[in-house]
Amino acid sequence: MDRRAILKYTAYVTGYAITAPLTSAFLSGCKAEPTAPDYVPVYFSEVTYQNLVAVVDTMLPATSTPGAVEIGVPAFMDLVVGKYTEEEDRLKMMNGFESWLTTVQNNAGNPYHALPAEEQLKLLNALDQEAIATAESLEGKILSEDEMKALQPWWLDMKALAINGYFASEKIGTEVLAYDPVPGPYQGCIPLSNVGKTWSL
Amino acid sequence: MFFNSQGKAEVTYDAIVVGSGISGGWAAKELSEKGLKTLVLERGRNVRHGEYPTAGNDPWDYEGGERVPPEEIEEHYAKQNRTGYTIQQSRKHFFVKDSEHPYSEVKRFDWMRGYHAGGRSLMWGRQSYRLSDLDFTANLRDGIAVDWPIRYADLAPWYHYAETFAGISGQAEGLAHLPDGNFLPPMELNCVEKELKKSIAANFDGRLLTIGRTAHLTEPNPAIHGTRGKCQSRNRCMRGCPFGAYFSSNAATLPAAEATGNMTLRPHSVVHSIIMDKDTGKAAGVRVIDGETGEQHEFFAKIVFLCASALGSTFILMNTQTEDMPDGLGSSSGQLGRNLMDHHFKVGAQGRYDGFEDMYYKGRRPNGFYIPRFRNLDDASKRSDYIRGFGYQGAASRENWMRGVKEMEMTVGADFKDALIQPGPWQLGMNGFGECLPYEDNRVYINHDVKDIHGLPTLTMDAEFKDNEMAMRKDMAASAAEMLEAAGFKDIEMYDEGSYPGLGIHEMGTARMGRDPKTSVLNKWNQVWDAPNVFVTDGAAMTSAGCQNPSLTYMALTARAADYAVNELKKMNL
Repeated sequence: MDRRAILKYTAYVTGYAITAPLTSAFLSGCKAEPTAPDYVPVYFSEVTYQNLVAVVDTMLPATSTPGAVEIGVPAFMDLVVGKYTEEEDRLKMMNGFESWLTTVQNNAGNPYHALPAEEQLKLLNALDQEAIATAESLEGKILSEDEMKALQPWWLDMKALAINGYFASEKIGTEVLAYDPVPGPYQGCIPLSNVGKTWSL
Repeated sequence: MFFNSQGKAEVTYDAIVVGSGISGGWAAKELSEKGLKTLVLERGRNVRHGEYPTAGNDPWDYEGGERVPPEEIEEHYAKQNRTGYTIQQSRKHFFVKDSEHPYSEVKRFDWMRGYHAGGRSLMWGRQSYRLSDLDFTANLRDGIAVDWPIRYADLAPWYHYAETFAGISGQAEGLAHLPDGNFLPPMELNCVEKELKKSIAANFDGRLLTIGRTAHLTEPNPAIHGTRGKCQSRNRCMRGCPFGAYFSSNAATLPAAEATGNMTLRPHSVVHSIIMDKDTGKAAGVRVIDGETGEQHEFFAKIVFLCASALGSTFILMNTQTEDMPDGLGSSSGQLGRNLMDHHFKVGAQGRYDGFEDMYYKGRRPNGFYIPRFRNLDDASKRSDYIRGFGYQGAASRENWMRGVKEMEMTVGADFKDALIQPGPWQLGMNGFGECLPYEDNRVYINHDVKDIHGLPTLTMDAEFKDNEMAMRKDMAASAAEMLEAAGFKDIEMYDEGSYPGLGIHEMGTARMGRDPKTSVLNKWNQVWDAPNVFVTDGAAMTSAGCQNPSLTYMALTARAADYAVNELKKMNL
């Protein structure tokens, strides 16, 4: 059964305590400039890719679990955008991303990847909140699936791809999330503490 | 044109079965177990049980996850991709290429097909429900189309027979309009589904929520199910199950047929038409085009079972054109190709449930809950705005990391990432499956201008859902939302994504059963009125659609027709 993703953005506070502290890296001002990656992007230009790496690192940084950059998420995104995405969607994402990068550079005087970590976080937070507000404003409008897709902010497409690339990776899927390829009979109502994490499959 | 390089004896069998899907597999098993030398003609490649190359793959085993390049989709799968879930890396090898097997649409029709041994029994949804006399008497009661020539009592023992061998897991509920089956133990509902079940029982007279009745072995019995194993809750059924835990021709009926020594399965055998014997008015055999070599063959038999899928069987009948029957075998009533039906769906409601944050589940249950039909059952539930009814299929689950796209209070960064490693809130969706009426002008016909990869003509579909279905859909959305509301769900959202015939993958009708050769194609034993040794036992035979998933009914009809055919053969009546 294919179920449309729930569009509702909810200010719902989940029932478990979030104890992970803000990592000190975010408070220390400047992050080391990412070294030139070994990966040569196929679809993204080198400079855009460099910024993509920085954005992915801001969004899904290393904590007690690996960060998205070390998992190879930027390369995955390069592959998917170039080979597995319809041109219309690809152009929307690329044009949106590059024009945002230009605005960032014009306002800050430096490209995104060269900015201090807390400024990167501030910029990406602003972008994210604005995109979510736009998506919320589309709700309740009678739109076709295609119209809805076209109006969905480009950042949410990119964010979704990064999240998907990270959590559907082998390392996170088998070592961080709860991995159970052959579960056996279904148990419908068990304590979360028996599992501890989200199922990866 | 068609000739035999072999002597006639070598290409003569007791029975020919066209197709090896849900119905063909059953025909193969029943006929060969009753001692008939049976030739099973499958148009696609052979897939033996266990030959499921992607069964164990994880998403990361593909470079782009399950994604398929858009150029490939456009070139080969433009229509098969309309489901949104069929053309994925781990599944697409079981779906046809539209580029090889085209069809034409006067109005949008989504025709999902798999051409290989086992057919769509490999990729089916596995939900298995009985029809009842509410369904078998519906046309008569409403004064539309024609009356079914059978009643529930005719099919009940065959439902039991089919369920026993197939293995149907479910919960008995004692409903007259959704009769209980011979069930294996039910699968469990999860915490939030149990809450909804309680609430519906408390707040809505005449409605109930039960676990889906599904063709999975929850407790295999080796004496009945052979080497098939227990369901492992992997939920990768559409790739083929290495455990043989869900019912497919490949895991169940074809091995049983093979074990008799009476079955010959011939893959790459595309049936062109039926060979008619002018003198007797009966079928003599079938004409086949070899899908690999293009060679033409004839095969002969005393009886022919058409189990090629609703539209596949109707195509073969239509393509059997003789001087007496220019519009095809079974066309004398004018009903061949008409009354095309499917279930309409993609309408319902969803919501979030606060609570049970400390509870979870284990396993990927390949099944959901079912809310049986509760409209137009009696005077109390009668609607003024539409006839017939609908059921719901749904499930609750905890959201995963994809809620991070736009449903989190937190935005990007370390805390955001760490939060996504924990399951999110509970949410539940329910999707209605509604009955579609048999309309004479919803039809399919042969198209000689467009040829398939084998050089055969193709089909044109001209069908739509109409006012009765549209009125029903409003109720399907509203009734779902009111049940969620009564159960205390939050952020309830009704949806209607629109539904086109075909996408339910329950296409049926076009060679309906009936009581009169003037108004129907088949009689009460699924025999073609115009050629009594030709049986059609797949979805084509359906006189009305019900709102239940129909495959179990095809199994029961096929087993019943095979039993009748063998008895008639013994009596020398065929």
